[in-house]
Amino acid sequence: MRVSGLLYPFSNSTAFKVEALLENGQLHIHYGENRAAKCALDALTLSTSIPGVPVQATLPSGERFVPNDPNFVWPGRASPTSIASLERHTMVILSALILTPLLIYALLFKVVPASAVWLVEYVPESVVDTMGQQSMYVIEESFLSPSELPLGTQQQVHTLWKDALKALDLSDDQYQLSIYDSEHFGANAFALPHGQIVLTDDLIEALKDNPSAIRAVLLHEIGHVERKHSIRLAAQAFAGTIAMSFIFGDMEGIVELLIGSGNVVMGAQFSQEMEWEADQFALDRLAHLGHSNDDFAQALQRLQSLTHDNEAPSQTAPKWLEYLSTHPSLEERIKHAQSYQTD
Amino acid sequence: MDFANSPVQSGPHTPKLVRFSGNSRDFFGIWIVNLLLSIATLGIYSAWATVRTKQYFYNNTSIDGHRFEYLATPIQILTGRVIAALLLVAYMFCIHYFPIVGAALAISLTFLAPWFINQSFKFNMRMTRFRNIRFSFNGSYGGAFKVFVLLPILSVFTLYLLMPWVLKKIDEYLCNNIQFGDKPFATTLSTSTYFSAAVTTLLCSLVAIPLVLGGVFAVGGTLAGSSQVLFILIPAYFACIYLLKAIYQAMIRNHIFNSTSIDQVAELHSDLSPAKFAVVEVTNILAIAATLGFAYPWAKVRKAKILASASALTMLAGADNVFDTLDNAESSLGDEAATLFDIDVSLT
Ligand SMILES: [Zn+2]
Repeated sequence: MRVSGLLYPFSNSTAFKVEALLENGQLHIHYGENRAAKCALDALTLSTSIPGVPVQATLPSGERFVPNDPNFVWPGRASPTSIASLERHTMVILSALILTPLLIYALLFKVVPASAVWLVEYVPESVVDTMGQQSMYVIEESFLSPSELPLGTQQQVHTLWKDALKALDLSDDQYQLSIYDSEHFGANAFALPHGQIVLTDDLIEALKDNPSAIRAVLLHEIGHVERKHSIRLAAQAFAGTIAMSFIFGDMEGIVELLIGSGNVVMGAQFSQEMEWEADQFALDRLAHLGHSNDDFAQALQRLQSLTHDNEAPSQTAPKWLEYLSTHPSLEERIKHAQSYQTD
Repeated sequence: MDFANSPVQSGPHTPKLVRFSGNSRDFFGIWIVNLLLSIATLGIYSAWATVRTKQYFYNNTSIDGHRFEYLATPIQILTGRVIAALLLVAYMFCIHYFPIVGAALAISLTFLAPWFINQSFKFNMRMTRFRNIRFSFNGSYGGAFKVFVLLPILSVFTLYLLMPWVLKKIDEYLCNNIQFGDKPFATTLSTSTYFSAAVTTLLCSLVAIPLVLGGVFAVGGTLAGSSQVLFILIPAYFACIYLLKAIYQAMIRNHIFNSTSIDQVAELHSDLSPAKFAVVEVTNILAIAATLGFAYPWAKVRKAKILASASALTMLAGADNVFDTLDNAESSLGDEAATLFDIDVSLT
């Protein structure tokens, strides 16, 4: 068999157009004036096979032969299971086309969250405190102002809070309650990783005739802290970034953007999951403390009615509705709270 | 076999065209199969994927029938990536949790960066071969520190007015330290071209940004939610960035190529049309975004083709007499150290 190609002598930029002769397991190449290279086919070092790229052979004496035909197969060296044959195989390509999105989904929504849960266990207490205090500082500076509620009302909420803590056997070193006025958050409540829980004036105002509902909201927020949700969110963003840059390191900006939006969707999805967890926590504890699961349902219903009062029927979200954006729909949550049964 | 008896004539003084012979069908298969394997192995295989992708693109780029080659092994890439990932984790961890240690680390990174940049260039040049000759990069720490750290900091004090000059200095540093075998590259760049490229890009941005913003608001006015506007605004923003980047890059690439020669071996040429390149870049990213990434192989091949077809080389008399310096020095002590760090510490 004759194969045309280019021959490069050792360590030199000269090149020769040659025809290689493959015969009886031997390779013969004549080049230049009276120069020849030959060796057994088995002794050749072949380059990795890649679709559309000719497989080059390096002789033990240092010469290199590059066939012109990218599809040329060296006799006795074809391996049907190489990566290159997978890359050429239409069925493999088609199944990769389906499997890849599925795997990306599994990675973003299953593996990364799971590793976040695992990572959380290794975050030291002091780090949690620093994180919480720093975020609280930023939030307080930008969005919160001192509460304008009468001291009596505030006192009532604090009493509720202390009773709840005592009943749950939680120390008030670890948990603090603050009440703030906030135009930005509207009727809202949130928890910081180090155990600080914030209720807004509007929320207390909306639930003031129903202290049990306020307690239910407090329990929901305690659930976030107990389950280390903020740390998990941070750990997950962290794990997501590392995993993505490791796997998609080669791609250009736009792909990162696509992956980034996947990450955002994952974040929202994940935080919805956390809301369910916190809801579940609140409902469990309500039952445990001998209160009704309806307390929580009523709190949610009140929030829902606030939404409908303030809002045009369009999809436009008023500012305080951000409470919901990373949350499951209120309707579902109410339904879930109402149908709660202790097991 | 008559034709075999003489060396391939390099045909002095006739420009040789650069050709890219890859196609999107082949590369799509390579890309999707390697992506799947990378994900399935949680990123381990990505080193193999990188090497295969680079080999595909290097080998399919040829000048006068001679193909480029990429020589790095997956293990070298993997080692570099693991180190880079560990550094990144340590860095992010410190920044997040120990701000003071993080700040100290950031400062020491400023001093390490020139070394990393040099190392990466050295690695990538050593791993590139053409006509049996490897490239090399001989930049010094001092030289890299000057252009990558000192000058950019100085340009801040001039309100970035000197930035085009700094970019010129960076490109000069990089080009003039490359060697093809034993033959050095020589590049003399003109500051005025860098300034005019910057001004042209700036003028284009003055036209493009209001146009895009106007378009977005015309469409956005009919949409209710602010989140929906973002879906248009973000791609529009990226399209703008790519447009401006492409215009600037095309002008600078032409200038660098046309001012560069390899001593006695070749002169480089490039006549990339900025407008055409910008159109290719913008339609590429829009296609990638619209297909959720699946157009990536097509876009990458398309870009490689337009870049290759805009480039050419004039071979000089010495083209056949270049010697590979790296093979001979393999056992020297300096090279031992180089092989120890024969990794590209980077995630990309
Ligand atoms: Zn919640």
